[in-house]
Amino acid sequence: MITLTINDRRLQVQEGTTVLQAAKSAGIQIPTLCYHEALAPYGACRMCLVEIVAGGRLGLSASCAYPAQEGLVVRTDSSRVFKARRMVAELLLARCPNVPEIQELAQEMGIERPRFHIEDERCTLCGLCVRTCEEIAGVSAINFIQRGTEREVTTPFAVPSEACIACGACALVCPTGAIVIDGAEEIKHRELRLGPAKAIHVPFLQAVPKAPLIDPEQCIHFRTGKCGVCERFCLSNAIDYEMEDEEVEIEVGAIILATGFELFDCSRVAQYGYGRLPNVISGLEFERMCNAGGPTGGKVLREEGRPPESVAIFHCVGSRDENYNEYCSRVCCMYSLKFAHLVREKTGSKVYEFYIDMRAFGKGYEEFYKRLLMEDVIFIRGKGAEVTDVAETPEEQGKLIVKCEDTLLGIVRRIPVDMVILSAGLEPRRDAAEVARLFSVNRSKDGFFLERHPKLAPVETASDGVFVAGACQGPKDIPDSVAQGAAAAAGALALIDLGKVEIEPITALIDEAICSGCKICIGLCPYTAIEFVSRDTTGVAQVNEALCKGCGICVAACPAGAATQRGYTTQQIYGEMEGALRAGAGG
Amino acid sequence: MRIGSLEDLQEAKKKGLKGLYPEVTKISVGLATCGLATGAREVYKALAQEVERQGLEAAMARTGCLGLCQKEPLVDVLMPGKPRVLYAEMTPAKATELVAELAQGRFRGDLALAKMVREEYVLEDRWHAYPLDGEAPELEAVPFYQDLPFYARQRKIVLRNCGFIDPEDIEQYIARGGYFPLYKALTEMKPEEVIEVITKSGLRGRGGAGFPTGVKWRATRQAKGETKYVICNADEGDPGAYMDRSILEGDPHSVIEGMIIGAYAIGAREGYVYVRNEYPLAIKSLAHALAQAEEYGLLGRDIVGSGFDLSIKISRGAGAFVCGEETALIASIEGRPGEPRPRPPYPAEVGLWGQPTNINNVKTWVNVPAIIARGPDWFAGIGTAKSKGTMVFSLVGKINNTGLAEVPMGVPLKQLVFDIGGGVPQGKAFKAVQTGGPSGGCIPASLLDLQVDYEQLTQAGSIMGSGGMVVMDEDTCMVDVAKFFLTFTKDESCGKCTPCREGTKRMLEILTDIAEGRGEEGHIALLEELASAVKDTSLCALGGTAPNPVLTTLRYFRDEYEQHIRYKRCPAMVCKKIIFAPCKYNCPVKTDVPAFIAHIARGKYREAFEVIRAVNPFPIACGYICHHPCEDRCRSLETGGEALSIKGLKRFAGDHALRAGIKPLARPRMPGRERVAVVGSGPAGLAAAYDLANLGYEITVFEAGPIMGGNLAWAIPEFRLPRRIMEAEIESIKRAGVKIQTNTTVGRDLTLDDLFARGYKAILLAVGAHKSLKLNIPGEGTAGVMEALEFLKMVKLGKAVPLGERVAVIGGGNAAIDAARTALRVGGGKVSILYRRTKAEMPAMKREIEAGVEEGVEIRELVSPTRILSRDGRLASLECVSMELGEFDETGRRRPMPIPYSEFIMPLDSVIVAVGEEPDLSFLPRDHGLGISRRNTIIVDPETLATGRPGIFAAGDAVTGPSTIADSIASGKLAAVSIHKHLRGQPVVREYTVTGPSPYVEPIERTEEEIELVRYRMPCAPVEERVGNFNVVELGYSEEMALKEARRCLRCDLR
Repeated sequence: MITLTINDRRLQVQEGTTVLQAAKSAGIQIPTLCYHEALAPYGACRMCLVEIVAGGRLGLSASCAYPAQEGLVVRTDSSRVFKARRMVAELLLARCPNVPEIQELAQEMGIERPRFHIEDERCTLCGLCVRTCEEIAGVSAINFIQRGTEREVTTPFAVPSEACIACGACALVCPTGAIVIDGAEEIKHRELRLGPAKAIHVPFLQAVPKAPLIDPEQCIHFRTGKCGVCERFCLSNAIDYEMEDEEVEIEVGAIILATGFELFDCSRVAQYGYGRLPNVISGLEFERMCNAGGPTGGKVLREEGRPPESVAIFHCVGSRDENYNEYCSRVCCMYSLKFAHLVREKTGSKVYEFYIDMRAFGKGYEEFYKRLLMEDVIFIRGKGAEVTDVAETPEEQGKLIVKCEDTLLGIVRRIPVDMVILSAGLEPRRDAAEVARLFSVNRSKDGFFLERHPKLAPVETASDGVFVAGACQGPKDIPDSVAQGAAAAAGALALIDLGKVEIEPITALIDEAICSGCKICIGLCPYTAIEFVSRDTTGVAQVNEALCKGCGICVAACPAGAATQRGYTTQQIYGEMEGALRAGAGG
Repeated sequence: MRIGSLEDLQEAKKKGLKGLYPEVTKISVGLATCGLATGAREVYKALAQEVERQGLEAAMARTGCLGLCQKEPLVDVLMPGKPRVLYAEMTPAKATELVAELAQGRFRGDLALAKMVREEYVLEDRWHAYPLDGEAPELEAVPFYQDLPFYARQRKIVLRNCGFIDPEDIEQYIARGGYFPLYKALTEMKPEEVIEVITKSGLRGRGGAGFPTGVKWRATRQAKGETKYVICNADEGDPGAYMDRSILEGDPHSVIEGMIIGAYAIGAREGYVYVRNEYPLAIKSLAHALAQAEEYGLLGRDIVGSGFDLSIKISRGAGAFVCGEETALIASIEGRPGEPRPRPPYPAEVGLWGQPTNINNVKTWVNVPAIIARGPDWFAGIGTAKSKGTMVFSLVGKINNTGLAEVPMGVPLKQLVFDIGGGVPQGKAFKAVQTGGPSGGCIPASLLDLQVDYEQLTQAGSIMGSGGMVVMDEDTCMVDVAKFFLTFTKDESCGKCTPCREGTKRMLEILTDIAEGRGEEGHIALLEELASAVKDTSLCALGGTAPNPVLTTLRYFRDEYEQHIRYKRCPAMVCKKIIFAPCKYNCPVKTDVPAFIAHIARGKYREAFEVIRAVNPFPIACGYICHHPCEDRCRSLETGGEALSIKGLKRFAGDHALRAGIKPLARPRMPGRERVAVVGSGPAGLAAAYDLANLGYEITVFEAGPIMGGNLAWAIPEFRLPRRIMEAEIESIKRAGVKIQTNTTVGRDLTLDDLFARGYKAILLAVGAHKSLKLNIPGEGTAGVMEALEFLKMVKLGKAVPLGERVAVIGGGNAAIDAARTALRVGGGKVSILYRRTKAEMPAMKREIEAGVEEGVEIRELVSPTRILSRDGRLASLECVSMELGEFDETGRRRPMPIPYSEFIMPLDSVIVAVGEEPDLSFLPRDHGLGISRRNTIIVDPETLATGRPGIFAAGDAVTGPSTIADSIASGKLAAVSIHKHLRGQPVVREYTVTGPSPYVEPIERTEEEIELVRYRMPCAPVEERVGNFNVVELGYSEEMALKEARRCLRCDLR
């Protein structure tokens, strides 16, 4: 420990502490500008000057960079210090008269107007961005060029730098807003797609446990090996970059599959222009926009920031369409109606609903549809054919034009709108096939998991103890999902409560003496019921009778004839045949 | 050859001595940068060729700089058995002649600068005497090297070898004792002992800050680190300092040896020399020396068999001034931008690559071998109490001997500038010296006695810095100097910290405002506050010292700043935006000189005259007698030519107007404008009257005497200003509506109150200064002693004045010259002027003095009268005392002091006293209510010329004492402005503005050849025709001459 004196107060601090840190720990305020806790001391702005009275380099020194030393005597409140800081602030105010941070700083020191020629710079040249880029991002994409009064921050040759990883840390750290990330004006709609932007985030608001995680794709530490700021500043030492995904084995008696669905990717319907035309957004993006905590703060806005005057909502995007999915996604009609309601409520703009037919199938749904009809929403029966921004009339200028066939009027229409919301359908998850194989579950033609029987066993699967619930089994809305989940839980409980499982009477059996260990059966078994176990010199296949459904595939496939089916050995079949023939002959 | 023992070193020394003193004639040429810049390479080639052609048995050699850069190229000839001879300012042609003589075994004494019979071996504490076989007679008149003023006071330790050895020959370095100290340190001393010796010697950092070297070494030795480094800071960036370069070029081994000893003491294994790339020759020389040292086993592994290893690399800098700062220098070597970082930690703890590092300046390292060789006590015996050893100064700027001089610390500045430096060229006055480069400060003439060491310089507000000394003469504007240095530091600021980056810029802006005439009250205070803040708050020494030039010039030359701000004047006439054309600026009445000259050049004489008359009611007379300050700073002088004869051209325009009868238009009185009375019809009174009349006032001038025109009419001799000229001028002034009432003495005939009672609303007193000053010596009332003005007046009025044969005029002003020349004309005897200083200091116009001398006036300098001796009640003789020029007074002139017991007696018939005049205010009634000064002048507000009584103003000599016609006119014009303001009810304040540009007159086209450097001499009547009559002496230009002279004008108004 080191003992030093600041403003007549004796302080004890750790070795390696700076005078600034020591003062802060004692509650002594020192103004700073180029100082940042995450960065190495720079000592350039001279705002944090203190007077070293004894025990060191006498005179004014930057406290952010001055190491605390035994016996150091420091004053932060002498008239020399105040005079110096005042002049620094005045010089900065002359340079950056319109930067609020500097104005505030100057005002605190009682400076009304600088007595010098006044410029209009935003950048104070504190170098936080440059040092962040070097020390934190580890890329040095920006730096100072020129020297003295010509000094400025820029990329090499002032062209976009290849070294820049667009982490935005420079803009984040800049105290005066002098750094603007190119294209940040458009960020609102882009963010709709990006989701949470920071490398450290809570996955979603309702996440359990509600703990943040690091996204290695975005984290600067994982990209450049630098930064590590979070680790330094986490008070609970909770950051561990070494942590990796790990496998755990849990023994269970039942499994419920509730893996959900995936939203149809609207960009596949090229004629709708999603991802190509601004202001064509997906339903989920519209939901984010409506969220008070979302990028627009709950306002429905066009990309350039003004509310739309007319909105088109397309039903059945990716559903009931031979080109994509033939099935109905069940939820789109109702959420499209909700969107129409939200748009009307939030903007009062005109809303067009383009539908094939309206499927308000549940309890209370039809009433909601009727209410919408009263809310001046324009329903056009006919699928949206195309969205374009090529105007043909002055009214269409600057608008999105929806082409469609109005089947009720029997005409083709062009309707100019400000925004198009695509009500995307529901699809099986991309990895549904893999999951199905893992749990020995079958899938129906549309790719969703297949229940054992649509009516008699709607939550069970072909695998005993494996249940399905929710949209992984097929498109459904929330009430239906909740109901199915409850049913699956009940099924699982029933199984567990029983304490035992009934197995198939007829299972396969492998004669270890004959098995050559060729493993052909293992790959073929649809129920992953055959394991490979080692024996003295070689290994052999062994059937898990609890899993085996007695389908006989392995028996048919075994080249050595080692696999037999319980009760259906060759001798037994022969015997049976003999008996049958005898009976037939006899009787 | 590898040196592993003392014997090896002795062996190398023997070889080196043969190189230094070969058995044949040796011709060395100084081939350092300063020599090369003046053509030393060509000289070397010419010498070598000639030696070969003549078949002379001689060795050609190259060497470094001897310090006297002013006299480069220097050639040094060593003929066995003869003194060593130094030839200065050699050219290939001279070189050829030289060799021809040498071939004959003779020297060219006429070309020689100095001869040398011995040279100092600093490291061995001995003098090497050349074996002589009798002196060459042709060298008898050549001074000894040690007696040359430039070298006499020098003490060479750091520059011990420069110019004496071939820098590329390590053996010559060893021959002069080099590397013996290294051997001693590495084999006989422990590192701690070396540090102890350096500490004891009191050596301080020669980079400028003066930190004790031993303390620094010890700190680095004690610091913890895997590898330690030594660095030689050769990033010499100060404008005007180049000693480090000279050492690296002329004696690189001394730096290397110092670094090895230092590295050994510190425990470093690696070293760097950081040198700027703009020193290619120094880098080449150093690289060669490093390779050589390695080859000799003096560098690299196992140095001199001691087991100590050191490698030294050269790191080249791009020439940023800030890289001289040690932390920036380290950053630069590491390949990062050269920007400083806050200290602590100091490089001794955290330096290059984060390791303990010791950085010293070139000169510091070079001192080390000398201290090891001669011991700490020897070194500590040189210099002052706290600053030990010597310091190398580079003398540059306005100084006769530009060069490098090494002197013991504590040498008075005066010695450096005047004895070693040879003073200021062209006899100009020394004004200040900037020490320590742009980071240093300006030390004024009043501190010439300052003993130059770290403490004294710091106390004076400057720094030692790298030892640059930029000498400035009277033509230097201190605001401009501050601006110049600040521009440098502003440009060289790295921009990292706020005060240095923003502060220097703002200081420069304020200085620029001041220099361009936009200065405001409060600027000085702001500048001082800002400068102090920048000094106090900057991150590194660049910002910490950048304000020094501003602060010191403010401290010592505050008045100049105030002149710029308050009066929009630049006393040294440098600041372009204030002065525009210097001729116009320097003209008291602000005549648009370039405009009228351009008109003459275009043949438009009438227009030229109108330009002159626009501001001057005596346009013709001024052409005859003006003291033409306009010509003093003519830009033609700066380009190596003579000033334009502006007065001559004005005379031409005036004569033309006279011949052509050009007269001003009569201007009627403006209704409602008041009556104004002017007392006195001299130039001040008439100028005011003329201007006021032109403003529509009704003017009456009251003249006590019978003649109008004041001194112009009756004190200026006819041969300078004929009566008819004055008559014409007064005629023109009358045409403007000025009434003149002669033979009316205000105060006697009319009181001031009478004038007011008669309706005069304002009165201007312009009564001149007609009362001669006394000598205040015994016998002054004796007959035969007369006052100059009285004498001139009597002659002009045609009265007979008996003078006798021998006449003495006492004084050095224009009146004295006029009186002498007049005496010559009326008496015809011997006329002497007695002056207490020298002719050079005479205030009279140079041309007039010359004319007097031509005519036969004798000028006796350094003589002062002490007593008038009479015989029979009449003057018989004058007792005088001889004077000598003593110390400089605060005006920069040397004060005349009487030489004791040097009195002598001059038999004389007449003495004319011309030691000055003062106003005769006896006409004023007792209750006049005006303030009178001790000098008997009327006290006025100098800004407005208003007296203490409302409505009464005073102007001209009555206010200032005797002055010139131009100053009197200017004074009268100012009074006119003030009276106008007073009568119009406006606040009577003077407004100062910068001298604006002249009205545009299209320039004539002329070729380069037409720009003649020499002016046309004013045609004068031949001397024999002048004596005995009062015909005008200067005849005026012919039209052809005037046209050509006018075409010489550079038209600097059109910049």
